Amino acid sequence: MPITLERVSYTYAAGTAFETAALDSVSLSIAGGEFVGLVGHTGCGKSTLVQLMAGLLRPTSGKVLLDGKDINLKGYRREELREKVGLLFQFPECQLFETTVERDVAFGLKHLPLSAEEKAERVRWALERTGFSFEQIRHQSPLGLSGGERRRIAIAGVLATRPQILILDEPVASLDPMGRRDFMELISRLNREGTTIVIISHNADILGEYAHRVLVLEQGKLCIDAPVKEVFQDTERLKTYHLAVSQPRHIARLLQQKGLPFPQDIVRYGDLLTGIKALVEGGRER
Amino acid sequence: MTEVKKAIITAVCMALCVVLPLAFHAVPNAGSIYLPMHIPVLLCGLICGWGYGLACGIVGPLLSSLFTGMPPAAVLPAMVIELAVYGVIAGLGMLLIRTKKVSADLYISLVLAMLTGRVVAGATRALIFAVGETTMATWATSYFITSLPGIVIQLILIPAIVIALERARLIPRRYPG
Amino acid sequence: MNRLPIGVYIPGASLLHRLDARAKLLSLIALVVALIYTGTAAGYGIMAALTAFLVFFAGLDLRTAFASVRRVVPFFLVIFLMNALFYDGGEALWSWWIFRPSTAGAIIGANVVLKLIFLMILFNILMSTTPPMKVTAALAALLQPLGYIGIPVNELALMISVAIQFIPTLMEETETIRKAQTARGAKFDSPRLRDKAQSIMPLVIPIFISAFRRADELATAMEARGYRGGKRRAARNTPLQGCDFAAMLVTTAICLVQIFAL
Repeated sequence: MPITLERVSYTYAAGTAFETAALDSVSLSIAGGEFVGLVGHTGCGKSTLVQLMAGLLRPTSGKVLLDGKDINLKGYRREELREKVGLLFQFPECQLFETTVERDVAFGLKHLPLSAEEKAERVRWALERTGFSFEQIRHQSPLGLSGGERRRIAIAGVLATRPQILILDEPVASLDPMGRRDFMELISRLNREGTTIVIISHNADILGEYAHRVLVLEQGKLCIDAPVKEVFQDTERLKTYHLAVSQPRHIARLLQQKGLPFPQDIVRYGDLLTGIKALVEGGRER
Repeated sequence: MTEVKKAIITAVCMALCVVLPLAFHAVPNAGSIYLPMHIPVLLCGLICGWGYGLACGIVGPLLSSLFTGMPPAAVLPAMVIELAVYGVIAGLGMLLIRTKKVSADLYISLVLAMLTGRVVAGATRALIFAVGETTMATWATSYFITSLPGIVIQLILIPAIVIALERARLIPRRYPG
Repeated sequence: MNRLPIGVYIPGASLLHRLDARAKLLSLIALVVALIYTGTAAGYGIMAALTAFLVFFAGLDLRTAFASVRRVVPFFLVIFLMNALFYDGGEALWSWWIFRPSTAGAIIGANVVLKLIFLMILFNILMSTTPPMKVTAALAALLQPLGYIGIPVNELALMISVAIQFIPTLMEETETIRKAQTARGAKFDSPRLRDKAQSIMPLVIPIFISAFRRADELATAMEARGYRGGKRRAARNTPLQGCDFAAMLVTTAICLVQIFAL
């Protein structure tokens, strides 16, 4: 299910003294099954962009097309959008409110045309996916759980709707390294199973490791839209946007500068390790 | 709860007196129907006691008027008195009523506060702010009929919020164990 | 709600910016009293001249000064019509069902609306030339006498200033929660009352939980730093300057003129 933006602009407080342009004529297209990273400075319009994709904001001008249909046209069924596009904010645990975990995870399913059994099955699936034992957790209050558990419950609440496009706004910013890895593994697995992922992150390592393609926004304009390996090759250009490359890319570059023959397209730790192994073995042979 | 914590909770409730009506603003007429400003004041009284409830009832609407122009200056004094009564009676209710069941304590205190507040508001309107314009009928209409959805919502919502806060361990349990 | 800019303060260095907040607050009170007693054309002339003078000295442009007034035009219209159509005294022009428009009613309505417009502009001048924190501090200073009858003025001032600091954060959080729940299928925009009523729980409960969580964190931090309440010393106020006294004198004079001379 492709999502396409056609010359989308968005202005906050249009027509008042506080008018500010958040997005300026952004055009892009994301195909089904892609894993796209979205980066840029604070206030560059990333959050505005994903909220436009999720239909939470209406563009001041331009179109947002989901599967070829304009989501802001009058006749468009919003339920369809909510079912297909899931959005996870930075602190999703803030959205919990129900008396039991089971009811909270089922909240997003309320308006979907599913039978009670299907809904129950999805809740179980989502909770197990996020690492809970369904029977143990279902009747507990989501509010009394620990911070990490509450976050996983909130994620389960978004997963339960089985979105075909999952948008994540800074999902790992406040997680510890372990939680970060677990979370990204979960997202990566969903992507391998066909879910389109759009992720906002400051973390270059995560983008290098998981994203196929990177979009760079600067002052409301889309200035880079390219595969991650290509984007991370141009360190100098990224610097002008106050962005860094991933650690493995950085290390590979330093080693290259020392005269070691490394391929140009290393962005992941795995690639770096393979490169080093090849070097060591090459050295041994010599 | 320590006095510091009660003071800060009261401050947050005052801030919510400004924020909640804005959150409800997307709904036309939400102000007079859902009465969003009553919720933090009643909660503050229930949780922190009558003194803090009083402070929240007076300062909350003043801040809201200061920052958002709602309520407009013309209705502000009557509203301050009404909300102050809510805060005080809700607090006194929780102080004096102990049925060993949280929800019963909450409901009794709430209903008491909501009734007293409306009676006092009607009386002040008749005697001070709108002399001659207020009759039993207009009072009953504006305080009970127009705001009936708000009253129902408050009766459902406020105990639910208190219980959610207890579950989240943000306020101590009234009857531990 | 992102259309409502919170904290209308506009930094600047005008004469009005430099006046002491307490002097500005007292002057505003004097002008509000003056406004209540204003009733003649000459009276309104004085108020209009003064307001124009203040807008000019505050370095505000008229668009900003009127921005808040424009937003409540429908409200003014309702007030005007209420008075014009339902006023009991005076001679009715015609009468049908509950409507009985009268010239006297229209005049009263126009008076009320005019006063409200002046009130809003004057209030805006204060708020756009004074940071909210200074308004609170001034309020605490003016409330100081209440301390003598046992009201904990310092605690009150602390609560008010903490509340003001929380407003922008809580607004942002409310907006995020609203969006997060919309993305999960809550229907806030639906015109159906049932949908709206149902969407209140998922909005309001998370707002309170996160607001109380923030309160909890702040209170814990304050206690950890040894704050016990009650012993907070009053904020030291700088003495009032000549221009502060001048401002209060002028506004009090206008107030007295409106009450007794016009």
